[in-house]
Amino acid sequence: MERRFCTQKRETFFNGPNYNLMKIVHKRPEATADVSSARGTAGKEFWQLVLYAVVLLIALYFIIGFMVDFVVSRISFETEAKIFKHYKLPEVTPRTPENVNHLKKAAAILETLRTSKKVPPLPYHLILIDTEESNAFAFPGGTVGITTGLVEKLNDEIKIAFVIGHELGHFHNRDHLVGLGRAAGFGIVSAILLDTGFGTKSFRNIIEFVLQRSYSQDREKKADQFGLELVYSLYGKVKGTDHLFKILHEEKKMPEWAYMFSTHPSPKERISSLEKYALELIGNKDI
Amino acid sequence: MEELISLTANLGIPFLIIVIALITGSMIERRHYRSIDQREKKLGHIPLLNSKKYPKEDTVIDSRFVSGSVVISYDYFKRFLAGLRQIFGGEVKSYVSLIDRGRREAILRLKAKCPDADLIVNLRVETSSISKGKRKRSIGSVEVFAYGTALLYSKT
Repeated sequence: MERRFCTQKRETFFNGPNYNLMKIVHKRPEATADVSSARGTAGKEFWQLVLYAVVLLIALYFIIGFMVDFVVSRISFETEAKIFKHYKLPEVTPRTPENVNHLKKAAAILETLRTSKKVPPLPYHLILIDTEESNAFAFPGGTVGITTGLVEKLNDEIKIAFVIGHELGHFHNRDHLVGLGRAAGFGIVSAILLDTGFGTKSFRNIIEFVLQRSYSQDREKKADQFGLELVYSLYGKVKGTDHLFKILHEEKKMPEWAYMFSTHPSPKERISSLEKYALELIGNKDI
Repeated sequence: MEELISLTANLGIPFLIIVIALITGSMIERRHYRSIDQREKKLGHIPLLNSKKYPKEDTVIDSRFVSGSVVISYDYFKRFLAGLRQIFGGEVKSYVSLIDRGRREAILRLKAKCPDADLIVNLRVETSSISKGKRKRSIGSVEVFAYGTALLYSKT
């Protein structure tokens, strides 16, 4: 009866259990003993794994986004204020007396804006951030931060009102909470799942980045819209709301295509969409 | 602008390193396999046995301990693939070729030390991984050490 001794190709033959009878027959292997299944399959392996990972990450991104949105929608503004009661940012003393005046003016505008019914009831608080860059931020719990660079550039009430209105829009849309939740959720998941070696982390970053950008730019436009509506409802006009974007457009630090990779849309795009909202809001009047 | 710079640093550079590793790594691997193929043909006439006993074909006039070793490192591309494998499981194909190359190279180096031997018996192949430092920054390479006893017949 024939028995299968070994599945591997034999190059040496055993003629029985007695080793002394063993005989070696020289046989050149027809091909080299290529036991590697990996030879030449790196490309296939790569695309397969990348595809799996992309699908997994996109699925996770949407699941986390959905969960965060669900949780945030259950948090009332009162709860938010309570949670972030002790979340305080370091305050900056204004450098020049002009800045003191600007800040006072901005605080007064914030007080005016919060009288609107659209603005969510949060304990608002204005702080100054000492940097040349023109920017404003919405921090959880109702803290609005504006940079000294921005305060110096905007001299008109409407212009400042729009910037603060934009940040209030973020509070209204819960963007700061959603952003925080998404960052935390995706951070935890990827730390557990994807921190397995060189490159996997940056791979995750690329995916998150691409997904996050379009989401974030959309959110910014919505906040712009909120700011515009708020300013229009309180001041009755919208002229000057796009002033900041005009400044940013003139400063133009990045080429237009590079905004594809930015969390904010390009100033040019924001101006044109503001004009569109304004047209919808007040009809065919002079903007 | 800062955004663009940090973007390039965070995403572009690792990507570039992986691409470079892919190009150099596969070039080196292809060349290595070509050399392995050639040398295996050249040294294929020396039979290898992993048994301690061997057929008494002739009188043994000389016997020597022979060894050959090689250390092969992974590249970042292989490591990237292995990292992704860790999520889904399955055969880490990118590392298989590493071990295969190591084993064959070690045996070839062993054979190269005794090109006139008639038989190599009691062949053993040991594999050990060399890594240094913490998990994240570890240097990963595999050492393969092959050793055996080379025999020379009297050829009467």
